[in-house]
Amino acid sequence: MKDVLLLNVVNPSIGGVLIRGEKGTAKSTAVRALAELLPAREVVKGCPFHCSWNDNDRLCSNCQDALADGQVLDKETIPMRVVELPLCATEDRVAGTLDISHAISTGTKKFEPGILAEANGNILYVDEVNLLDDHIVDLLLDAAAMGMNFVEREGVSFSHPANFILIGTMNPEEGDLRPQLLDRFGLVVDVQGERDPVNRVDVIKRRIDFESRPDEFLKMYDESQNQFRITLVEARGRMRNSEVNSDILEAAVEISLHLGVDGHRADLTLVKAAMAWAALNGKEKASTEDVLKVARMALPHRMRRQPFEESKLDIRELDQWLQERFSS
Amino acid sequence: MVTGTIQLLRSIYPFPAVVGQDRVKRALLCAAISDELRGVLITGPAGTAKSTVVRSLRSVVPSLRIKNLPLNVSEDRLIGGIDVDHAIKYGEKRFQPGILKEIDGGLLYMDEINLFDDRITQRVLDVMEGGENRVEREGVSGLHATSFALVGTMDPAEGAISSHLLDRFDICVEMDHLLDRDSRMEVLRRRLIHEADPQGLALSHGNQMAEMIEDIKEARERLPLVLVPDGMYETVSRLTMELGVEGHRGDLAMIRTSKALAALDRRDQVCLDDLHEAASLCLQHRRRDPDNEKEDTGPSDSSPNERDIPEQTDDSEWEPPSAPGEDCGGGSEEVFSIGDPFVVIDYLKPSERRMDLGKRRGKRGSTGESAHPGRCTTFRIPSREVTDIALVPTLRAAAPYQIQRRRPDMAIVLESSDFREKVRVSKNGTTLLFLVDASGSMGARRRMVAVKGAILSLLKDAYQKRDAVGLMAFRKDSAELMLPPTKSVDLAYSRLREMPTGGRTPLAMGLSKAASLLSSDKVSKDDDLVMVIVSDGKANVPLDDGDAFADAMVMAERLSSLPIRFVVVDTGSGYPRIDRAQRLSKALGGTYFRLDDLNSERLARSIKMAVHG
Repeated sequence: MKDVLLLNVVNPSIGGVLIRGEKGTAKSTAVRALAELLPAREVVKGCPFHCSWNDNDRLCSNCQDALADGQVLDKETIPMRVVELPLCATEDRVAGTLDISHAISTGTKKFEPGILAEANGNILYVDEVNLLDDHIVDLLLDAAAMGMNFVEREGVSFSHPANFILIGTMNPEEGDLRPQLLDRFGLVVDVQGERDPVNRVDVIKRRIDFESRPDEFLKMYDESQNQFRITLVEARGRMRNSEVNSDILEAAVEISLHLGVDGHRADLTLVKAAMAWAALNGKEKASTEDVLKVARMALPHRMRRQPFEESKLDIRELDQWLQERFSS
Repeated sequence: MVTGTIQLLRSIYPFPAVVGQDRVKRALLCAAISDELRGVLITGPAGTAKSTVVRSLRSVVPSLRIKNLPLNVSEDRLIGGIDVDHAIKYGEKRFQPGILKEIDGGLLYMDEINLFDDRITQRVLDVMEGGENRVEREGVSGLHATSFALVGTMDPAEGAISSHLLDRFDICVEMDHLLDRDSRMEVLRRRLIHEADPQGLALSHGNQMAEMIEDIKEARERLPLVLVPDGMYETVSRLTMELGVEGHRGDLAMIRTSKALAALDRRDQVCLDDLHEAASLCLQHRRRDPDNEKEDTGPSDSSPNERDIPEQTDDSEWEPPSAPGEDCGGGSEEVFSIGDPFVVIDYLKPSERRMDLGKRRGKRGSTGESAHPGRCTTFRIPSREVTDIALVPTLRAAAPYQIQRRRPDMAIVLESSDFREKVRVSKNGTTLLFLVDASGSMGARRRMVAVKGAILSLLKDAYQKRDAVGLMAFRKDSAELMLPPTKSVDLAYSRLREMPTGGRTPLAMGLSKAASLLSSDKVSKDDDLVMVIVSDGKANVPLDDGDAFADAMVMAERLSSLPIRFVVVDTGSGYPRIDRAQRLSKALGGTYFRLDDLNSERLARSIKMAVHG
């Protein structure tokens, strides 16, 4: 699970993570811990939608107006964070709506940002994403498709960037995820409770430790946290400089074809994740092994072509097939 | 105020850089050069670059305004309503047009068009076709002309779009599956370049784009001059008749598309090739007769049910006896595999509903008004006390009177006549409980394979409509709940696969248990409740010592007063046909189907045979 989360930090365009597993397996804890490791980013100063400072193609309506007026947008650096989407959220709170108090006190219309606005540039975390209402899922899909959120309701017409890393958790026994939403998750990981008694004890000890004296506990890990941050920054740098090579393109496509995966998102995710994986492990160039390594994260949820066909990814079979295919 | 018009100029994917998808590209180009072609629908599974190709159109038609219609659009923004600013300032009601006016001369893009509220889609299509938007709401009336093209994209796996809406689209194309390795690699390569360096990709296709821009301009100018030879009209109408296309929209779309295709190919006259190509763009979605399409897919597609009976002998799994001494006659126990699924007819049609149940109204999965939270689509003047106030419409209603009512201590003065309340609609959930006869008689002649195939098909149907499903099987001496109602259809599938067959038939017991489950707290009271009974009706385990089938009938009579809809699927086969399932259905006041009738293709075929002799 840690690997999968880190890959997304190295390359946010991988498309998020779906974490599948039982209750109480530290899913939320891991996601919240991730926030600590996230890099800072440059945004337009004072913009409630955190528009990226250097991306004039994706600006909110306000910033667009400001630019059109000839104003210069200032820069500010803010940390990335984890924004949570609660299951009970209503449509207007998610997408944003008319600012009622502003409308009443001044009689003019103003857009009130919703959760998608907050999530822009950040991590959007949905616990139990499979229990989310259908029409909220529609909104998420709509925003994720373009990286923009368009609002046309209650007399307001507004758009703002909504680029986020989507992280969802689900307990598969409580219901399925719609295939379209499933496809939007770049990677998937299944978590299980720790089965080894020794480790279990360790988990509990650490948790109790943390709860009783959180400050000291955090200090204990300060060093390694810092080291980690540096590793991530380096990996991002490597990732940015690395070039796409035909080997991994070919491997990704071959795997998708072999497994009969529809659509191009699988191919794309495989390549990006492989490159991120290589970068994370200090390699300058991704290889077919990296593709195979990430295949088990990028493919399990895309295996199904029909809702009911068995969707098992046979890693061993794939491994063997790859060996034969690429060793010759 | 800035509208949502897509202004991502630099990040637009270059149209010529889209790999393959020639038919989709041609369709979009036709719509781009012709003012007569208005509706284009593109279908394809998730992640096949549907939206990319639509948005990329702007890279070769720079003057085109594309507006993305978000799913959250409200009616007042779409069609227009009262001009609030004006009302407050001058105390006058004035009409303020909405998106349908703003898009005049542009292209409206509806991604996931099948997920929109039907009212919205209907309205957009109406206005698109009529060329004018007439609004009567919020005390204002407005009328304006508007002319725009509509492009919709959808993933059929997420649900269908109703056929009368489908017919309104001039062109409907499916995304090609790119399966060869090289094209897929090229897709990937270009996508990655685009993400890292959009300008680089645009530059490398610069010449192509410049050429296309010129070509499109030229085609636009040429189009009004393109002639349609007289004979072509006849060819078109003969073709549409032969394909069983209803109405005249198809003919018109054919002619218009052919003209656009000719113009794109720099010809001044429509030729047969144009017609041929136009047919593939305009008629696919209008065919009424699915048989022709299916013919070439080979025997694998035809009548899975019968095929399975004699053939499959070795792919069923034998289940070891689960507990010793449990077998109480009726033959051995067996787990049958699942037969091939098929497309299910709309077996819960509104016309087959029982109207006397009062509470249960509305067609399945339709949106019904309800008290619990749902999507607020519109508002109304409250008839009694307001509980769920629609603030914005209330303010809009009060706006014109603010000048007269002005009071120094209040910014806005509301009176009770201004209040509007929300009309919320939530998709009525449906809970389907499958009560499956798993007795020995169902195993005869491997009937269970077909039955499981049918149930799987019904499950798929439930999945698309996002119904909750439960599975209960009765056999031997009892009825066993194999799966409590859940939204996880996958789970239902695996339970279904494992479901063993064998033993006797306690029908009455099954009915009673299923009904008490549906009446229990485990099932949401707001849901539509449906019990689908899959059985041949040959009950042979009585409740006490009486006649088993009589018991079942008595039970059925009793259940018929419950607010549950019943569907009986008769699995009986062969002659003489036993009418027990039918009698059961009558006693329940339910709808009766034979297993084979559920198969939409087959049903279509048998109706056709009945009609044509």
